[in-house]
Amino acid sequence: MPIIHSHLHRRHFLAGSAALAVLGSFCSVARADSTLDRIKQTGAVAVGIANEKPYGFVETGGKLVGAIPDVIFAALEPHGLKDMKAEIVEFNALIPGINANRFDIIGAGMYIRPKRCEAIAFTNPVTRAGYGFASLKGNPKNLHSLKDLAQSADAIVGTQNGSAQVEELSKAGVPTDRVVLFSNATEALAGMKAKRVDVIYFPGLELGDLLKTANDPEVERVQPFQQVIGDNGEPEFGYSALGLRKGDDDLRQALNAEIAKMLESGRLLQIISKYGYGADELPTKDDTADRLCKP
Amino acid sequence: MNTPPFDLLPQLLKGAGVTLQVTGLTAVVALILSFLVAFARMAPMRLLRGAATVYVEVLRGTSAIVQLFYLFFILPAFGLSMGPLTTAVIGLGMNMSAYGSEVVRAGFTAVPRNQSEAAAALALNRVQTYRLVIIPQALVIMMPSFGNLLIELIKATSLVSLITLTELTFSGRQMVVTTGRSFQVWGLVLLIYFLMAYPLTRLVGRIERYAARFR
Amino acid sequence: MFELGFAISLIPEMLRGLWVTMIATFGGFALALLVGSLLEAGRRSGVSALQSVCNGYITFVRCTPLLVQLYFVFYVLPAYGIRFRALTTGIICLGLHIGAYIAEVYRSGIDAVGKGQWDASRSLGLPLFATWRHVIIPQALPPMLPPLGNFFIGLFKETPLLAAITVIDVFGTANAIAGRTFRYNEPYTVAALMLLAISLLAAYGQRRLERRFAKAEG
Repeated sequence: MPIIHSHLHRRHFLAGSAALAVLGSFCSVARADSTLDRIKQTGAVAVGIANEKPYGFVETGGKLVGAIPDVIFAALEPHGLKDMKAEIVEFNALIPGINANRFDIIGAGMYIRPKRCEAIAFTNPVTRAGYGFASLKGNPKNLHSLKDLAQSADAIVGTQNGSAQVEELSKAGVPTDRVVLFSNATEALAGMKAKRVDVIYFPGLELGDLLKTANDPEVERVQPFQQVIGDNGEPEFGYSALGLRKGDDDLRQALNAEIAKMLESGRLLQIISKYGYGADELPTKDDTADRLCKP
Repeated sequence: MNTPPFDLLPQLLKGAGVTLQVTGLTAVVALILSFLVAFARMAPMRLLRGAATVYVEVLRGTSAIVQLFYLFFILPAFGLSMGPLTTAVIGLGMNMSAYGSEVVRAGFTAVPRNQSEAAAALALNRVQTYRLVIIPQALVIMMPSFGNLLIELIKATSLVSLITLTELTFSGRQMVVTTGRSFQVWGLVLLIYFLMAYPLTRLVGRIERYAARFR
Repeated sequence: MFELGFAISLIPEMLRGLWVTMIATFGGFALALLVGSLLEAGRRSGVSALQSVCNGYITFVRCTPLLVQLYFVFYVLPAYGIRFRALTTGIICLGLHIGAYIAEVYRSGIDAVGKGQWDASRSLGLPLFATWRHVIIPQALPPMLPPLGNFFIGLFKETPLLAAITVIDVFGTANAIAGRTFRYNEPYTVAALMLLAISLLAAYGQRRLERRFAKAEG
């Protein structure tokens, strides 16, 4: 029978209550102000990124840059923004992260997809881009489109977990046992060099930056590449937008107004062209979050 | 590999600093919880004993990484949102305390019965018996096992890289992404973990020999 | 919050992941038993260089995290021609990692066999191999079973780490489902329950093992 007896219970009950109180102080306090008000008051915003070029990344000096963060800064500066803080998370941790109030805006270049619209809100898009393949030199399995992948007997493709590409591959009929999910493009490229996958499938600009950084003669961009054609006969593009919590309507409207102004004035093109985007990659006025969120 | 990869060190050492920080905070939390849970398991009240047993069995029986993912991804949906560091400390702390509470229990039950009998014969009251006789001996018995748990904890902190805390393993992954030098980065990461854990193993060995003198 | 219907719909896919988990567990453990015995044999070989290598290996593996070892074997070694499939990589790393701990189990098990046994065998003129086979190992083995059982359970609990190197075990399946549906509660809860169920079964088996084989307290 245990030696310890009841007079210790009082002590450990008090200790337990103290521990709970400390625990409670770590939890987030309910916000009374809206996110936009808070940004205006404090001049600061926390931006969730996956540290991927060219969307949103931290350069060696520590500064948060990228096509999307630059747009965020330009859009919110007139509203009093002075300071952007980067929160680096895994790509598929972005949506639960913003809903858990870990940051206020998703600046990772996340595409507007109907399934995502169920979980978060998006501003209108700021870029529009196609996808591409990268393969080992010479493209041994001669893959130039998702259809080639689906029809191949044994070709394996690598892409990012949580990305729009996963849904695209599934729609194209590529079976899941031939799709390997990596956390990010760099690990996918490493996987391909280790011959675990035959091609990797990523947005075109991201592939461009990836291959430029890798600077490796053993891998190449697959040309030509057949984009997926949508039901309307047009190629299906990925539309990058800023991700927001569903309750932040005032922030969304403010951002949409600024984005429309920048699109009109050419300032948007000026910002994103620093990262390799061109006029072809601008969305049109008809490309709104509401339209793209519809399944 | 021509020149030693010293340029990778600053970022990695910063990550190692976070590893040590997480280890320290978690060790404190785990130690406190270990004693609390152990006392609950030795309590006369059946409800408390049962709750503590469930706590230990569930936390010991499931992987730490699953517990961390739960706290990080699922709890926020119920309104409880904590930052990565807090999640890591609480998650690992609770997990380690399930093992630690067994160490505490074993420590107390290993103190021979005749110690409290001898103390009674010397007319020591209950508080004095615990303070001067039982607890010191129990602590000495517990120390080697706690030392081993601490070494396991240093290694377990690598799991929190998967909930995006920028400790040593996460820093390693980010450095591979930005520099592509995977051999040098991972080699250095392994070396740094070794340099953190190995001195502890020697220390634990010495504590074991010290504790053995009192048996 | 938690949709039971959705969770149930995930079960077939998660069971496929659970199958991979079990392959990794049994495969890894078998390899660990082998690696452990090789390491312990090396430590007892009498060749001091081999002894140092084995001891050094054990110390290094026990002082570094399994996760980092996985990243190293999966991402670094292929550049030097050493490449395995993801699941194979996971099994190899699990075996090499836990094998270092199992070597210790072998050591204490063999050491526990009294010196008298060795002396008696020698005085009976038994050759070394026969001594091992008929005298030492049959006596060393039973008390080793409970700690080996513990490491089996420990290895099982490390298998979720394999998801970090793209193995689609039960945890990796949960990650993939969460990645495409943005629902986290259901996949991770189903995965956790599946792992807990197996864990409780294993713990029950472990307790029976201990009752039968645990060393009698002196």
